[in-house]
Amino acid sequence: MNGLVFWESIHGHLGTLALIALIHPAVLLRKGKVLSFGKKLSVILSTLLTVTTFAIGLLIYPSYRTQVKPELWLMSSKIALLFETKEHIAFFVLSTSLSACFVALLAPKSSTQLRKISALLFGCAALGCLVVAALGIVVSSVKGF
Amino acid sequence: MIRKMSEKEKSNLAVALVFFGWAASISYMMQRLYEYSLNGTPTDPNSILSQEHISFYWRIATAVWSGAFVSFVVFRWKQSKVGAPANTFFKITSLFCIGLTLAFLCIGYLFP
Repeated sequence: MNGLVFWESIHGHLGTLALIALIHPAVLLRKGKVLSFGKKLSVILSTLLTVTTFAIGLLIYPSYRTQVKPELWLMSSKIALLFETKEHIAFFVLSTSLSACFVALLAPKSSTQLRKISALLFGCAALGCLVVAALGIVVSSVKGF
Repeated sequence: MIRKMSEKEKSNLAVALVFFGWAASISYMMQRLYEYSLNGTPTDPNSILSQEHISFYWRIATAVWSGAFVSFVVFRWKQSKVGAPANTFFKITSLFCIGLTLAFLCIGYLFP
């Protein structure tokens, strides 16, 4: 197994874990209650997981672009376009979860509505992550490193 | 010396950071649509290899910068106003969150 296959696999597994991790704070924050230490940890760790997954994706992207993408295009242009869609939605997941994390951590004790908005943002990020994970599975089943 | 933020400042910063996610996503979407309007759907694998720079990285960097800039402007604007955000703000925000998610999913699929 070469290094790129390893990191591609890690990227995929962490992405699937990030989907589950993003649902957790969405559920925890839905009533807008004040965050305990455990809830803060959940918010931070789920966002860190998302950022790490995205960062690994960015690191392997240049090699993927030159080694896999052209062949993927020749095999199936539809699947290659789905990979592009996956890239775009992944950025949406990243920016939304970052936003949700900071809102949850910064919301004052009295502002339940801000925490509810954070829950909604985490929910939207989880929905996006579900689509990204599904597309990732489809694309990697056709061609990987 | 680091000054502790007041409750009002924290609240305003949290509201401004809601705009970070939105602005970054919208900026990314607009850039992609602009690229799409110039090039159309990519069809030639050789054109991918011949690209001098990776546009994906630039798109992300610009989108993050836009998000940070917009949230900074919103924060400054909120600081100049008195009082907590109105109830309607939260209703509109919630609707916008859902709308933006659906729009991003659709545009990401229709304009890969």
